[in-house]
Amino acid sequence: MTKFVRLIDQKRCMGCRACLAACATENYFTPEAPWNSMIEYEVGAYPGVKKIYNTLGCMHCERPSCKAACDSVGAKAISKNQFGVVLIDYNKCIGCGYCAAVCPYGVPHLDRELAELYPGKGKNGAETIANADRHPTHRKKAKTAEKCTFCTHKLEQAVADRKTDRIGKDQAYTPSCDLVCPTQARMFGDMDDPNSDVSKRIKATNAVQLRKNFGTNPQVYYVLEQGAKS
Amino acid sequence: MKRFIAFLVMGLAIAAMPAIGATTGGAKAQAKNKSLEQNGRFHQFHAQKFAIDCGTCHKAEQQEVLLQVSRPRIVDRQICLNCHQYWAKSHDKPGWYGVESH
Repeated sequence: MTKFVRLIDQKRCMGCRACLAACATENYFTPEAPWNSMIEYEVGAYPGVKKIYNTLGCMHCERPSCKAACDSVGAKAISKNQFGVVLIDYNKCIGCGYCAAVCPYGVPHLDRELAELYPGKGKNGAETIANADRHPTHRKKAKTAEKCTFCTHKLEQAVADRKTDRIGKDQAYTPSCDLVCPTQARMFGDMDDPNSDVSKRIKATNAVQLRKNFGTNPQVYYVLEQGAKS
Repeated sequence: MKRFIAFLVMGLAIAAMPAIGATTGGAKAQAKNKSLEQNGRFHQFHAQKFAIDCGTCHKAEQQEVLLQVSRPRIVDRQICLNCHQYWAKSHDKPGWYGVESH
């Protein structure tokens, strides 16, 4: 079995947002629906104050509450594939927003109107790429929920090239956010392979899942900075 | 013959119109009803059917939503969890949290 997970090390993260920029470029962010966010907060009391940087994308939960809610309204737009990636089918999404409402992490965003990146200045950058030329996960639609896909277009490419063993290692087969981190605070790979770098580092650092009490069993692990919320 | 076929096609199109209209209208109505708006199904269920007071979920004070970002009047998912995990199990309601994915 293969279970792809992400490790985010808060102790290494310096809040540069390179991961956000990479995701925005790779996945054609629209203003209302970022797929990756940076949450900053302070812990401790003066003079021992510390800043926590917590990047937050989809946790690709093993028991996704968004999918349960979507199924309960009959839309059945959310699925979990063989790699454990939780995906939204934009053609099935009815834009009810239930997924956004129930996600313990507040991850899915409802893209209400596909706002322009630079209002009044016409189409820019990725906006000029026609839907037909995009991967299905990048064919943005108004009134549709969106979220991180673990760069599933890259994972699909690895399958097509028969190089799934290179996922998390090669640039072409690894989520963009995990590639660009200058402090190597991010890592992506197969958790079910005990010899993979990611599973070794999760074990060595005692990385944890956030909000475990929700029972969704997320596939993103965090090395928590002292005092950080879990 | 051509005239007959043209009439036949037109007749079929006119006959199918109400059905097409109903399907489109139905889907739109469904999407509208199943929304987070105050008059949508989500609020109807919670506020009307289960008679949950607005203040039970929408607290006046700051609540944690997006993990660490606190905002007033926004619902903390912990409140959702209380019912949709523990209470739902005993009442056979949609669990949402901790539900196996198929």
